[in-house]
Amino acid sequence: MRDEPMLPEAFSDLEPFAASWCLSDANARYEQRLASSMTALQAFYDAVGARADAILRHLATRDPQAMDDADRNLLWLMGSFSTVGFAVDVFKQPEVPDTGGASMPWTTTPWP
Amino acid sequence: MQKRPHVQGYTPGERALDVFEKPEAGSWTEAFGLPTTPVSLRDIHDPGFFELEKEAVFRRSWLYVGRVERLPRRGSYFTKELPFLGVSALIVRGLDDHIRAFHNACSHRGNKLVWSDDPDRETAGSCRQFACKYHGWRFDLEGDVAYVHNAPEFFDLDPAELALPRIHCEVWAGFVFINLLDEPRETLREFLTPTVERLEDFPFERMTEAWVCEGVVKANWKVFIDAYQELYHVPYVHSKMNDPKAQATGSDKVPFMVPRFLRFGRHRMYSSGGPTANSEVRSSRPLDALFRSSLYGPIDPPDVGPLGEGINPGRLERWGLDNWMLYPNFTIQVWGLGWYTVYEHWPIDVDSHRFILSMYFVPPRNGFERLSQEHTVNTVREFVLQDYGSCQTLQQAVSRNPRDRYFLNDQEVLVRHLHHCVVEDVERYRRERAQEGGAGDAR
Ligand code: FES
Ligand SMILES: [Fe+2]
Repeated sequence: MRDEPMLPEAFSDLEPFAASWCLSDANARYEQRLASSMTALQAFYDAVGARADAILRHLATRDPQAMDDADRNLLWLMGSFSTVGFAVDVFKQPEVPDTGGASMPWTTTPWP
Repeated sequence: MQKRPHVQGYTPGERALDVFEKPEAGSWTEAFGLPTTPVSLRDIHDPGFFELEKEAVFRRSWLYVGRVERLPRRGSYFTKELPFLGVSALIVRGLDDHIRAFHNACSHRGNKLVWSDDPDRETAGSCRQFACKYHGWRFDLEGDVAYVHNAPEFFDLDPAELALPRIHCEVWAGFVFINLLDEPRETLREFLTPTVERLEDFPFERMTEAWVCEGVVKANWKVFIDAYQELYHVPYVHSKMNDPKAQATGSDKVPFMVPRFLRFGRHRMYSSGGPTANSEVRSSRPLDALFRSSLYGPIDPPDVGPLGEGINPGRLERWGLDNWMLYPNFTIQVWGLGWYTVYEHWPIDVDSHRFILSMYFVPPRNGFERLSQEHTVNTVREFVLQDYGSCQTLQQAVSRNPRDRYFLNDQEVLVRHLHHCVVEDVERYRRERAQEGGAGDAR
């Protein structure tokens, strides 16, 4: 357990996933997908999926340029959720199939 | 037993597809003025052809190098590295707000002028003057020499001779282009043709939220452009993108048909219904519903007003997107949902290229819009990686195949058109060189 919570109070049930998935860098979010087992991806997907509606409603009230740290972490957690989506619900594996390890890293992404 | 190959007509499953009207000529291929015969693909793997192509195609065309948003202020600059042409370009917004391009090399002893850390890497920033890291010469934003260190030791320096060599540079719709000829054969707007030019009404300038990714693809630059020029591959390469749990429609491999193709000189485009086309295809996923976003873009984009007169030049009734393939290597995809995508394919060698994918949105007003956009770019990238894989495989296989007759259908008319234009330009260049008595050598 971390002393400092990373996420807003209302979403503290997702705190166990925060350290791995609240990643500010979009490339890090994708690398975390590639580095995770399908069991870990599924657990993350299921836990966030169950709360996704509430999280998105919360973030819809927040200005991206004026977010506090907890909301930003929540935003990045949802970015990770989108990033793992295809691996879990379509590919059933972390990598895109039949690509021979092709990669397209981000060189420009918005803040946050 | 007699073989009965299926090479004509539809299978029962394929009858679910949406079929569109053909042009008066009978086919898109004939309407484009192209032959319907099988094609050679030597132009993607012959090193001799590539040497000529660099000169005949890239050195003679207007080349897109970046958006004006990358030059927000006077003194803003970025570099563009085109090593296959032996060019490093420096693009600058001057004090007079004009955008200029220079060869990125110091006039003193020729060292690279603007770079940081790694000379092969592109860089960007903002400054009042460019200072050479070697002996400290400085140049102003108009490319003129501003300062020579220990000047009395030189012999009769003439400032006029010390300016940075200029590269022709023009801007259309916020897209910055360069032309490497000493005297371009046409202006940028002439090059674009009137129909492409009209696309400038699209509110590109409102869409400043940029997501850019890139990779080195082990395939000829044209091979990847081909992957966007036809949707014939979609049910196969991207079949795994379809949601297996979505409601069954009774036809798995429904072909995606493009309703409208058009050509403008060497440029070409197609329009399609986007999210409203091909209703039989199962592609919606649970996360798309949550994020209200998909491959086609965020579903509830901020209102940007009219998308301009230039879109949908074929006047489709159910319009969703335009894919404008501008010669030679620059594609703009404009979406009915109010965003756009840019693809750049820069040759490295005959069988590899640098692929840059940029996606632009209206800046999000809240965290939810921000995530809708991220969900779109994530989805696009999954598709692109699948195309990436099939392009690399094709390159390898074609270059090893004794066959050199390949078969293009009418839905692949844009593939045929691109290769046709490139081969035609190379042949013309070869003839010109022969007439000048320089036959056989690539320069
Ligand atoms: S090469 Fe630039 S100052 Fe000498
Ligand atoms: Fe594709």
